[in-house]
Amino acid sequence: MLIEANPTQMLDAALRFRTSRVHLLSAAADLRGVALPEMPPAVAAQITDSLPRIGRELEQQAGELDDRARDLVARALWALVAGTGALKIAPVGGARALWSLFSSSTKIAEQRRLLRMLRAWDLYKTEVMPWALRGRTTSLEAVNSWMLWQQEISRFMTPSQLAAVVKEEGDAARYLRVAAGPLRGLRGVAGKVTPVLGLATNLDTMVRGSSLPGWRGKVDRFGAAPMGFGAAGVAGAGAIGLIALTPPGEIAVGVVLLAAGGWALGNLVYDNRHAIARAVVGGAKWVDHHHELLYATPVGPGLAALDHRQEIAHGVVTGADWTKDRLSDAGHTLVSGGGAVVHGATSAPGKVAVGLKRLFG
Amino acid sequence: MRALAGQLRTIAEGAGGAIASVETAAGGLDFKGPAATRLHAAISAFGARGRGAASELHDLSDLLLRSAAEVEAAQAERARLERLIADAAAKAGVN
Repeated sequence: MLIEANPTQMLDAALRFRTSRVHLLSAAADLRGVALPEMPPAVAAQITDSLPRIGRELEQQAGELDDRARDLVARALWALVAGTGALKIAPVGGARALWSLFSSSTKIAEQRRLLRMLRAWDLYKTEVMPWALRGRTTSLEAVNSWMLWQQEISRFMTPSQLAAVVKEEGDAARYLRVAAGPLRGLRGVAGKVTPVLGLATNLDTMVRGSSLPGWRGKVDRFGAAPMGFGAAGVAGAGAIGLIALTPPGEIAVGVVLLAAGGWALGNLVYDNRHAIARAVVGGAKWVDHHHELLYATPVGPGLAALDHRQEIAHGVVTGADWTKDRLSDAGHTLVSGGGAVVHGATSAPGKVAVGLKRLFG
Repeated sequence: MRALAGQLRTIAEGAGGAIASVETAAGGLDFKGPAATRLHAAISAFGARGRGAASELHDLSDLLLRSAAEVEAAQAERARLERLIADAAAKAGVN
């Protein structure tokens, strides 16, 4: 399934819907206001019965148009969010057009919502994508990045609001069913940047099956991999000049890969849930006495982070500074990333898991 | 009745134009995906209902025009009969 959306067109259509709505309401009002002449009884009865009914019908249709216009504006917002930044969509003009559509009563709330979305996307780019871009989505650091992002994002956005970024496009269950699928290493967001790798890993999953057990393996093989294969193929073709990607095309690829990339990291969290849970449930006291023994295990980075809480706090608070370049520092990354797991899980127990479940479960 | 028929026709054309504008706007969207499918289905249904309402207004307008013509014809026939009666009465009075 490929999703395409052109925010500019959607906003234009929404405007036309609203203009047409006004015309329909005007027509309905005119129907109510007509002066009925003296007519033959049979004709009078028909006219008297029909005009109010048609007027109501036109009013109802005007209401529907308003709903459709609102829906289009909302979807234009998702498209803008999906296309902001990495996908080279100029968001400013679109955002201005979008904001101008909101009525004064809803304007501030909608603007705040848009800003939240944009901030969410920005955080995803700075905190999660660098790992994916390095092809390290199977690493615990990638999990940590994802959880840090979850933790940061929860400060201004509930999991359901975040889920809406993806969910709002179409039927949520269907979208997630199709979009949900883990990666074999480099698939997903990496496919956007290195589409050939995306193609290869998706094809591999389709042909040889998924590395994931149970139902997730089936979803991966028959749902996500073909979708990711197609999206990566489009991106790859665009990269080598076969297809000139238009903004809608870019958005489509971006939305698909964002969902696939998110799912991949979500699965990594799920697959490491016992280790993460042990790190949390075990408690700081036990960890204090035993953490050296566990440095070599998957939870090692998280435990090591306890020794560097102040640095971690600084890394979390500064947020935006915790960027790609700093992530490249392996030692710092290990500590910061691990800290994110522990800090995130202990400061908001269950929130991360709930958020991931809602997003990708 | 003819004036009302004209009003209804104008309203129908206005509503029809609005509906056509919506269909054109939706049809020109580069929008694909499940939500797009639902939108197009909804707009298709919307267009059908809207055209139905506009068509009904046109039908009512036609009915009013036909009825106005029938009333006019009936009035003319009545006037003709009244003239005949008047003429007959005048002739009877003379004789």
